Amino acid sequence: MVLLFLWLVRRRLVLIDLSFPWFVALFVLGFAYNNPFIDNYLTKILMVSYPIYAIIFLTLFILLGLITIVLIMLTRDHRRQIELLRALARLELSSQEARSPASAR
Amino acid sequence: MSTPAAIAEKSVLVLIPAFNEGRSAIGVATSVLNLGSAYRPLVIDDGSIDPIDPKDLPRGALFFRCPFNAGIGVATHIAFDHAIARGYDYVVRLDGDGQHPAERVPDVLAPLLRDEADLVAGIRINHGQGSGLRRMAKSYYAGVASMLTGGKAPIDVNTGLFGANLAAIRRLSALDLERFPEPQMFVSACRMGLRVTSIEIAQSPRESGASSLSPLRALAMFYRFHLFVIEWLLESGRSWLAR
Repeated sequence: MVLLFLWLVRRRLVLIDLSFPWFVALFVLGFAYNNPFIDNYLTKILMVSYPIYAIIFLTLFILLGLITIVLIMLTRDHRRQIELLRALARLELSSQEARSPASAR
Repeated sequence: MSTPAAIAEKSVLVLIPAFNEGRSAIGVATSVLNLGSAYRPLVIDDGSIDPIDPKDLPRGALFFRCPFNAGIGVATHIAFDHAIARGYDYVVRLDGDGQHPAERVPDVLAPLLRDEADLVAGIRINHGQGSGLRRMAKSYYAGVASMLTGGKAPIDVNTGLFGANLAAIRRLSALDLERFPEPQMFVSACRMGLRVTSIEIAQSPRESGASSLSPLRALAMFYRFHLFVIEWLLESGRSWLAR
């Protein structure tokens, strides 16, 4: 998974800044899978029968968290894109008005 | 067509958003210019696959092409921004597919000129004819909008034909208009205390292009409208508790 991720970053298919939450998620999951103390603790606080269920819950929680983070990032980028588009339109339309004022028609 | 004297002294920006409707949008722009010198058409190509060539537009029409399909809300914001920057008195929106009769623009402007309204909606008397689902959806939107505004919202809150004066444009430009922004815009206008009225229009058959309202987009529009309603209810509840 890490290798695939590094490959995506190297091919410029994933931005390094955007990949940071994924990196943290992989790290947290890997640590949780290999640490019996964390497994037992999660099993207890989530009130489930087996540690594997706790890990599944944690994975789903992290996945939903990642999707939400990506949604926020995409929304911010979309808003910036729209702001730029509106600024561009303002410039373009002002220059058209200057070239062909309404009174000249 | 003759221009009424009251209009001749005013400036009207007529927004014509077009998505894959180049041919008919050019026709609509020409019809707008024929209304008189007070009218200035602004054609916005919303990222059409077959883009409009600005050279095909009549002289005097303004044109902007979005490099991607940004939605009617963004096109509306662009027109509002330009109207505010250049001090236009009114903005009217007509669909680029030729369904809204350009010759009714002076009728849309009439209540604005008489200072009886800030926002005028062109309600479609023949919209949804023959389609049970469309009629039901239209009634549902109208019912919810009426409930939210105490009966002040127009009975067709999905209409794309509207006219607004500069005061309304300034207030409405603060909204976050996205795809299919009409219901949100009319309900918000009523909530802002703007005077909203309507005139009846007969919608013509589409000249070119296809409706951008696919079943999935209709569902997205439904979802968006209800998020807006929930937000409004939460806001109302908060202000009620604060009292």
